[in-house]
Amino acid sequence: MIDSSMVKLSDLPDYERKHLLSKNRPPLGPPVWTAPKKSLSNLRIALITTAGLHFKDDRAFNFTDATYRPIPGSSDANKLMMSHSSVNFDKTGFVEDINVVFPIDRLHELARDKKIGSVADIHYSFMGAGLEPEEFEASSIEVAKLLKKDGVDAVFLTPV
Amino acid sequence: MRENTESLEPPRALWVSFPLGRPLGIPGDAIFQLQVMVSALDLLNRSTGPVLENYLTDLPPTNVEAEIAACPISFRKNSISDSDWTSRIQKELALLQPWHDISMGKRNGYSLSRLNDSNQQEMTTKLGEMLDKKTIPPNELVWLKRAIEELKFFYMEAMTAQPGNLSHEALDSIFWQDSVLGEALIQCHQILVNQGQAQMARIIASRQAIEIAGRKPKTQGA
Repeated sequence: MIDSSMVKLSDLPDYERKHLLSKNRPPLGPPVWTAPKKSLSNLRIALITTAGLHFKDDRAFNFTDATYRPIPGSSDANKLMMSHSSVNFDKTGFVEDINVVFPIDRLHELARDKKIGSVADIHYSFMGAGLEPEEFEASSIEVAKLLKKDGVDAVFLTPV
Repeated sequence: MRENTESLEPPRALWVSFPLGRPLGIPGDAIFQLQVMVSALDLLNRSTGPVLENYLTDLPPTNVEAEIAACPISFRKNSISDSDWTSRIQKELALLQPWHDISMGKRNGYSLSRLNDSNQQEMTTKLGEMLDKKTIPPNELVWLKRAIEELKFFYMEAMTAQPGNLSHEALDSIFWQDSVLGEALIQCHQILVNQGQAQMARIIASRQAIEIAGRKPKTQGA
């Protein structure tokens, strides 16, 4: 998995710094490592975000929620909305351009330019707030199985 | 946070210095976003790990005060003198409506907010009554959080449809210092704290929002 994220701790107020440092966790299990078996230009990639995205008709995320929402790659990503319960991150970037959180257009461009092999049929959204990582285990296992069914080789993960 | 990732040790991670909520950096800048993405995907070529690498490009610096001084947005909070919250919020929404219409035009008629002509009156009246009575019934907390999110997305869409390309820091300052809704949310926060519901108060307005609202306003138009 690729985890493209994060911010400078020194830029944050003291209370926010302490709050985020309190979230340090040990590894969730034994080290997991997959050495590259194919070149990047042959990999099928999916997006997973923890931004609490879903379509308007989908069930909104609860304040704490370990479920996920599938997002078909062929759907209009501009119709995604966000029901993330946290007020501790900027949402105006998402309002201006979905790709700043969920870079679906960029992923399709990379496939078009043959930098990656292909784009997954389905991508996934979680709402990362208020729960310990272990509480996402069942949903994560389910999504991993779905990704395998889709033939996905790697995931581009965007936390907020 | 880099520190969180260091301790969790995911197989491959790219650390970027961008604000929380913007993992790809700059909205509307496809080239910048692609560079971030390619750097992250390149980690798939590594044969040993875990890998935690720094992305070396920061966002361009912003001058929030200069942005606000030049900003065309004026909420006229101080000129909306109605005594009840419902009227104040509704008047502000009416001022923003043309900008929200432009935002919807850019999105082919779609909005991130569920606020519409049929529920706007009901939503603002209910919120206004809670504020006027200085009481938020516990069984309305879920409703309140959802209503506030719908209103905030309406505001964000309207504000970002206006000319200029304001940083999120400038948008935050203008919203929390100059808007009636920003003031209303700070009031909701205080009511919840007074009711002994500090945890709920924190998901209505962040500590940073409270801090921004308490600063001296910098806008020219307010």
